Amino acid sequence: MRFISYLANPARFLRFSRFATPVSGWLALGLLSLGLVYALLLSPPAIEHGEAVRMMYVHVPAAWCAMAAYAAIAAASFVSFVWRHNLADSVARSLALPGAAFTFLALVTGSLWGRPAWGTWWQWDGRMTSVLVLLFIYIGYMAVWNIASDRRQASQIAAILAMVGALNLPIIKFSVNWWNTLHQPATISEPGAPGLPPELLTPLLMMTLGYTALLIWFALRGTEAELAELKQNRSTQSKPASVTLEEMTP
Amino acid sequence: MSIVLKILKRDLTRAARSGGNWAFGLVFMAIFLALSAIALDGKMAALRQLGAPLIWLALTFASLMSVDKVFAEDLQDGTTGQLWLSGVSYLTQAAAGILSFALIYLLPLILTAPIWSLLFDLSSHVVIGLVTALVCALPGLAAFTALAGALTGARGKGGFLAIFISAPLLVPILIFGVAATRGYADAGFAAVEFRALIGLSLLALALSIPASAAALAVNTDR
Repeated sequence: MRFISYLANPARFLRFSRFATPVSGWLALGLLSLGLVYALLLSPPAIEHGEAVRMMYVHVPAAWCAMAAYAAIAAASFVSFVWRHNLADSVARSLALPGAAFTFLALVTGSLWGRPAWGTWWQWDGRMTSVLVLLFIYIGYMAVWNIASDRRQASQIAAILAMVGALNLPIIKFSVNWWNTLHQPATISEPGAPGLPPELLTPLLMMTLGYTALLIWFALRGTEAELAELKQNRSTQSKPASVTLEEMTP
Repeated sequence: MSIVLKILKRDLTRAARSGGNWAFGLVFMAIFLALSAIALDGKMAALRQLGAPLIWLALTFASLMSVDKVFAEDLQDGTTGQLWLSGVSYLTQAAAGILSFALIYLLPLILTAPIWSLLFDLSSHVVIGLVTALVCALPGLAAFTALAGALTGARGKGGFLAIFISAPLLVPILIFGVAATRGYADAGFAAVEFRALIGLSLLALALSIPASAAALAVNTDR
């Protein structure tokens, strides 16, 4: 919490992001390239899935990032709505596009994986439907930003929508427990869950960390761009006087 | 309470004087259902199967189409701000708006569902389940549609954007509504889907009233 309120000052945020943006960018690049080599070439095929298991390494992290991005948007929107903080809604706004892209990626890779694993491209099961709804919510959220020309009003309207839309996140998380679906229930996180053998878990973790670093990089870059834009708009309003009065001699 | 009734009375009067504005949803529903039946080639076996889901779909679309009828007029002519200045809180206005939207624009659609079901040759058993499920879903449908209206209404360019916003929120209500309609055939009113549907509706109300109030406040620059 103290860290967040430290960063709430745009100047301090920029000092932090000047350091954190390249770190997360290079981290994403390194982890993703190493993870892809490990996942696609070195790790063994799974017993039940065969080679199709390699889809997991791009699908599961995308789905995780899609939900993480929305959770971050909802949290930032809450901060923006309650404390009316510019930086918070810049963060929320710049997370929306990568979040939507990850949601779309999760849907596409899931569809490609569903074909060999379940024999169908698409099925209206609980999780697929709710992730599709998440994509629609992302689109609505991005669209609603353009509704008002006044940035403060637009950010508040978008924040209200983001908080109401957060209702969908628990539905996605628990959809596999509530409804009988094709998706398997939690494999890794719950005690007593079957778990994954380490040679499959390691590349999955690498890919997840890489995707997350990529998401952070997108968010930081987007926020920097938003701040630069805000600063530019502000500076035009209060330019220093360019006309000087000469001393008048009668 | 009395102020809610006053706003409701004003909206009813306005609807009565609007020259049938409130009936657009009904006309839309009639056209949509007739076109669906024609597209299905008028085969009664298929229509009997699809009738209840189609009526659900038509009702959802009809309520999405009338999204610019809630709050928009008040926001654009400044009534919302004036009411706030005279001590009517945004929460009260939001609750009254949702209530009047449900009564004026959605209730006629639900009450006429038995008539539409004639187009699909639905049995009376199915119609009872359908109407009950629609009544259970009424608060939720009204709440989420009104929320979209409150978010977009001030600028008079709601339209598509409002549909974008409220359609994903209406998905769970649609899922459980259709499930409840089907559940009635097996288990009657004891079907568990009815309780899930009522729960969703109440959740939608609990979320939408404060969210709409906040949206009204933002749109009137408070």
